[in-house]
Amino acid sequence: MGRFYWFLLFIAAAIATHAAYVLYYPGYNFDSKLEATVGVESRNRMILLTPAQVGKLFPAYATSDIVAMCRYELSQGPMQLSAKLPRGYWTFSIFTVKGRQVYSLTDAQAGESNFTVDLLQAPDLIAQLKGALDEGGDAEAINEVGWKVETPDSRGIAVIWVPVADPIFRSATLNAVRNSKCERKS
Amino acid sequence: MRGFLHMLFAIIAGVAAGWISAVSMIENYGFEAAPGQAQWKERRNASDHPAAPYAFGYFINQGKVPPPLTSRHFVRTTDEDGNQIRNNCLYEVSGPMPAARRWSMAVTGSDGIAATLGAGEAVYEADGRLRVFLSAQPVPGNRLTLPPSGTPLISLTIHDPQDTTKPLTLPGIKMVRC
Repeated sequence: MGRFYWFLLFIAAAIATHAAYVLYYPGYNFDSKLEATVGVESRNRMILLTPAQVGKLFPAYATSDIVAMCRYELSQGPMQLSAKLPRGYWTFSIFTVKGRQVYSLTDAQAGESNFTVDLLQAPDLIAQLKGALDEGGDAEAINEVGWKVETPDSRGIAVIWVPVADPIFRSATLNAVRNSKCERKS
Repeated sequence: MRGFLHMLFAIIAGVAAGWISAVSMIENYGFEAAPGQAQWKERRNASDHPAAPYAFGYFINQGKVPPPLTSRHFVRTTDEDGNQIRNNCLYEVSGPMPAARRWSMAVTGSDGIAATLGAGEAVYEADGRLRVFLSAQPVPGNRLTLPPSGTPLISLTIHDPQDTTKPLTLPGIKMVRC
């Protein structure tokens, strides 16, 4: 019986450590590594990444591609992200700090080259239950559904990726991406 | 006293086992060989895939952003013969690229910094096929520079593939000379 107890304790400690490492450590590590690469000033603003930063952060993109990124922080309130991009292939993605992609938009899905997305933190379980019990809570929530993204984590990144098909269009594309916005929603 | 030592040992051993299993699974779990092209391994990071938290962890632990869900990401460290790609040899990546809106290829070394080539920069053969050389030395044509140290990791990302139901045809990697 004694040995079984120690074995149970071993299993519980192993499961707790495994889950904590997989679910929390990479996210913490990621945020600090991101900050080291793009700087402290990158919080809540859209920044255009240099080719060196693209090569270091994005295994799926070429360094010649145009990439803009916003490290959002939603604890102070919702953010609004907007862009007007040139015609052609582009993607807009939102990731949590744990690397989970919560939103994806491409030029084909958007049907137009400009978009505005409201980004807010999803209510926790207690707030959800309270909202469901309040009269009209669900109806109000449904009316607001649209270009609105709820993310389970208060921190993460939003990424605009525009692969340049022809170097002739690079400067115009850079200017368009540079004008994209990531700001606190008023 | 003896009971306390047993408890302490069980907890320390459990923490070590949990930590080692987490690191190992983040590194290895969720890689699947591409159908018909076993040298290419695909990292499955779809949110509904059981390996998703480990796949996210694999990228973000290295301070990298996971490939978007609209893309498919393949990696390999070996040539067609199954030999590890070496920094001092010349390799040729050739073959048809799958129909997709875009592709990008990269070689990453031990420092984590990648040499990349995008579909928009590549020069194609007259028949539309692609040839890319992997080499530390300059060569004519498309080239990805092999890193000076560490095992080179070759990655290929196919963005928005046209047919998501069929296996993708991926190019092969042959050694030219050493």
